Amino acid sequence: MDEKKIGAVLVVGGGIGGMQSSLDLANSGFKVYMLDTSPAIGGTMAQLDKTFPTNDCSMCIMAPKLVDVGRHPNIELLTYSDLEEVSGEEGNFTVKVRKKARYVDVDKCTGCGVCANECPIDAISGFNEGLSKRRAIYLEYPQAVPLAFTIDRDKCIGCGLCETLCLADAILYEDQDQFQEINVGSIILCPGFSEFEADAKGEYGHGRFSNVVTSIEFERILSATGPFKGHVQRPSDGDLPEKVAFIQCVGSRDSSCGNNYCSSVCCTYAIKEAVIAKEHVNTIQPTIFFMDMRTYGKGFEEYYNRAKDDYGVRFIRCRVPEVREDPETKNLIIRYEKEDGEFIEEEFQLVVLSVGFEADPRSKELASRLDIELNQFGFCDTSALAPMDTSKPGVYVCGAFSGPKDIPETVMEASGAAARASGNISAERFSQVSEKEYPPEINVDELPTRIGVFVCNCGINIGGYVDVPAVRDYAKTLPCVAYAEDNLYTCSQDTQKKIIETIKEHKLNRVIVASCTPRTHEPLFQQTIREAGLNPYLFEMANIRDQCSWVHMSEPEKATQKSKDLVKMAVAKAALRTPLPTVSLDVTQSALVVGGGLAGMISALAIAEQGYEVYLVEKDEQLGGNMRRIHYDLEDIDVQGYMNSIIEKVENNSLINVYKGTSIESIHGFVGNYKTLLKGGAEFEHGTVIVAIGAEEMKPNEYLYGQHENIVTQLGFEELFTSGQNLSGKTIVMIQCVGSRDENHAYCSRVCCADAIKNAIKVKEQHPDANIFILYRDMRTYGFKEIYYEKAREMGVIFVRYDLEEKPKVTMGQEGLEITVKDHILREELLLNTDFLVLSPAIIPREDSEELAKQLKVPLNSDGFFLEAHVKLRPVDFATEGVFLAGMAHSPKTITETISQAYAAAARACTIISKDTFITEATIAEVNDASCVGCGLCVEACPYSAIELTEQGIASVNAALCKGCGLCNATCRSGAIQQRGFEDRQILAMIKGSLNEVF
Amino acid sequence: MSEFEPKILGFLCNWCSYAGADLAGVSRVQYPPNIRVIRVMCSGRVDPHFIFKAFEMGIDGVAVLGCHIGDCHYQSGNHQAEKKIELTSQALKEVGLQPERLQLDWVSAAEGQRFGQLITSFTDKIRELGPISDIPDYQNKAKLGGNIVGVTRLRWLVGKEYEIFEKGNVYKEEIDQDEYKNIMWQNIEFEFKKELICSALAEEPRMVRDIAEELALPNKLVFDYITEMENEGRIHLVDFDGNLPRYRLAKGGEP
Repeated sequence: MDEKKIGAVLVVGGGIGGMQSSLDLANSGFKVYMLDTSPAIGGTMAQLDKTFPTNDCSMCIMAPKLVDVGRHPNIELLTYSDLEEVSGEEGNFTVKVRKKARYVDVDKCTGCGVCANECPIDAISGFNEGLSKRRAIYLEYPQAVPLAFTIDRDKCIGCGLCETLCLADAILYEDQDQFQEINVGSIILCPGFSEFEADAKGEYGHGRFSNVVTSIEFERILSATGPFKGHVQRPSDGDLPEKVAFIQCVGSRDSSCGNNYCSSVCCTYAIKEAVIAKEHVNTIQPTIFFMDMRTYGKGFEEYYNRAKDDYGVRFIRCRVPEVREDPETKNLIIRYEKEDGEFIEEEFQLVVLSVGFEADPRSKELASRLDIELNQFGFCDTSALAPMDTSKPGVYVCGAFSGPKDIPETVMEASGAAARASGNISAERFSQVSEKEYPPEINVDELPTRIGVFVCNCGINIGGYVDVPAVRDYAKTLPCVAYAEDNLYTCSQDTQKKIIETIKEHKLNRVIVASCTPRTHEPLFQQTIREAGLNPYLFEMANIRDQCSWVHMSEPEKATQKSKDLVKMAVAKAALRTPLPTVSLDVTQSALVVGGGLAGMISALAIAEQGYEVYLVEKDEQLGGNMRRIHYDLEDIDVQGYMNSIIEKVENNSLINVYKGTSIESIHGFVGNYKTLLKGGAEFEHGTVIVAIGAEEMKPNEYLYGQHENIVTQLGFEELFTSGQNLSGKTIVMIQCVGSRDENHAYCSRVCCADAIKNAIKVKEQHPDANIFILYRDMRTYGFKEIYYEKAREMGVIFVRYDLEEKPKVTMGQEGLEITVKDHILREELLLNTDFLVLSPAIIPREDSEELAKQLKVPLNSDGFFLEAHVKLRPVDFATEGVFLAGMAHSPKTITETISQAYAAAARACTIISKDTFITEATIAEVNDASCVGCGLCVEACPYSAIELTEQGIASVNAALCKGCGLCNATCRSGAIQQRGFEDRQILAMIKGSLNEVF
Repeated sequence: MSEFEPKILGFLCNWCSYAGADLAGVSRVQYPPNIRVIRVMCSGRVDPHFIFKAFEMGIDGVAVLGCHIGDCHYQSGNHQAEKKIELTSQALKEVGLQPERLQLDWVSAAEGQRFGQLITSFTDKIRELGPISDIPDYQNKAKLGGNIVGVTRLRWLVGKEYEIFEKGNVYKEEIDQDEYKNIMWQNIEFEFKKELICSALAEEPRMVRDIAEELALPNKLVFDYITEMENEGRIHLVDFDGNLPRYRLAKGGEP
């Protein structure tokens, strides 16, 4: 092949998946073009109020990523654009992009919104799901990136007012569609999904009854930025609803509308919406009508239990046939059948339809332009063993375009897709990108302290409750403050430019932003002042929104006073701030992968494909892990054949050093620079670590397991079946949730429902006369697995539901095994004389998890699985820099999910080892040698072994290991060790600054 | 005169409680505006010294909030915070500064509601307790308390506490927690008495029995402390008034 490869990737879709792919690629040296048909990136996640199961505010956790993408020097945004044509092939595509006319100059628009305030034309807000209006000139949402307005040409009457009003001269009525050609090596598709059109299920009355809303509409209702400002009101009259019904599976698991699959996320999001509604207004009584409760993800089952036990959410197992409206009250009547057969009519003030995922018709068009295959439901077709590969080489996929999935799975696939997309073009890394150049840092040591204070109105989020001009004027009176101003949105891109200019103009050398929370916005402002030549740690933030205006809404005077105090505290600290250095350390550009199962092997191969050396350590004598016991999967793939091919690739890859039958003796070092000693003596250096030690099937401790040879686990049964056991005419009973979702393990083990169905179908295919019973609590065949659940039922597998309180009983009768279980449909005890009893045991963490966690200083969750840095947005990262996570060590998961996560961990690891240096944290501990008495208390207080006593008997901090917690500082006897950025004198100054005379 | 508005200071760890406080905002949980927050990376960063300094400056209540036990971003940070706050409470009690004015609690990043509730009830509690300035001589008491928690052996004991209970002492023996704590509490008491004696000596050289009378302590006890402090170099014998010794503070021995 002569065609030159291109070190650039086109990412189609700017939702959370697209953003993650783009950041991973851009951070490992590739140029990224991000295309979105919408005027702003953000996708569906921007519309969400909260995310399960942590109830994190969606916009809050997403905003920093939005900003990162918007500011990344290696990412070029192509918003409000369509992909027209693609030519070329893997490694070198030419893509023609149509940039739609937006009639506003993105570079000039400041996002101030004066135009929209006066625009005479109303339009329906798509972002608020039609529940509120916007103008013909509009911004998708307040935090939009890019923060620039767009004229809706279909609505605009061309009155010319906005051009007159726009002080920035940004209106372009003569704008036209433009075409751009770009050259990329790979393409990642992440256009997302569309929600099921609820009107199509006429029996539920959406579109006819105003108080029947979809789940995404309700999400907007719950949101503080939504149509009702976060007040839970119903559309017909604004009344606060008391009884709210959620109807599950609207447009999912429903052959009548062609959507036989499960939409995977609706159970948990309905729980979330019910809980959040109840948190908003305690008098709300939510009821969720469901068929099977599919809370299968990490932490979801516990979330479900809390909703039931702590929030009093009512769960009713029933498919609701229809919703009627009382025309008088606009209340809604639901008639449903209780499990005992009795019919009940109940009135609700609001009904929420949990609508499922569908393939977006626009994505179908995209697929045809790219010539990639779709599955029977119109989603992108992928195989179980290559979940991020489309049918066309060089074109990859992540997120809901390939099937319904939640945010963390999307994020994992997004990182995974980044690994896939860059594998083939890894030789072209850094060929299309340039390093961001900063001006030299100004030496502020000798300069008089000049503080600039920027007070944010945050639209009306702060300005509506706090007298912002008063806070600004107060700031001007404080010592060392040389300048103060207020902004509509201090975080907007145009204000960043303005801050840089102001710093220069007024010779500011400390900067304070009084706005929202440093947790999300500090990095943005730090980068801004760095661009102005200031060290980023000359920045301080006062949180006057999240911790003031929003929480003291009815006390504007006191909130204003508090804002002043918070600014005063920030000024007190900022005056004592000094530039903090960061150190650049060399990175050993290789990786350690712990665990030689599927996850570990895939990660190793993916990293090797990127051109870096890998050390793969497996404690068994053979590679393969759990997979050695799996022979086929739901889609009937030859798992053993696949595994052997992977093992062969690993063993023959010259970049992968495989160590079998050993484990880690010790691991020392830190991100970029680890040194590992294996038991048996091998020793090597590496820059990053991937934990992929898997999990295992629990040995059941009930249902007479171990007392009869025909009582086996699912894995045991699979072995028995593949070894040729004749099951013709036999009765096989499978019991689900053995040791899961109970007092043993609160969590759901995720894979067992599909495993049971897989084995049941296999047996039925060979022995149609076998009688198979699956005793379950909820069938959790999420996504396209639902189709196999349907298939199993069609093949005659009998499903009997049982309750945790009434578990099946297994006895050894004269005839053999006897199992009794209460049948909820027949409402009587069922006695099953059984030949084989197959138990689906919990998946439990490996015994050595704890030891490895200690060695790597990373946490486990209460179930003993490794705990990622952030459940939603950092699913394969640890909080500890440089250490990543893949496979079942994270939580139980399928082969497909493991492959995605393994690629994801590889992509994340490559963001570190693709560079030859690593920059340390700045807010680390520092020892003043002169006052250190060498007592060693700090050494013991440090959870990261970052402090040692030198030969001179003085404490010494390893900058790369220190995580900046400050425990040593609070423990030190002599004040000799200080946490930079959180020094004693700085905190004491803040305490003092908190006092005012107004109380 | 307007109703008493307590001045509350909150130390919030960056990862959980600060995030919880942000969530309270995002969820529009309303709570009294009396609190001023200082963000620290870990609740274990809060030095007992900060707390006494805050009370000395006139703060009416201090809340230290960290991650739930087991959730600490820095593994053992909140355990260490727990030990330090326990010591601080005991010292507050000893010097007569209502330990209820200090509260340690845990708030996760998902507990906005809980954060609001905690701050509301803590503010109410402090409102009921009244201004710290109602406590006679509160500034001096806070200063004494600050000195006590700065004493080497107490900083050592509290700094070691978590590790000793987790891993055993230098002999790899398990230590009885109550006994360990008693030792600390006794030390607090001793230090407090010593601080009182130093205060009594602040102005001019004095005799043992005068001090004992002023502090309502037995002569013997006062003399024992004085001897000890003499050995520590904090107090000097000045002269004998007849046969009665007079003592004064050594340079740098001021309270």
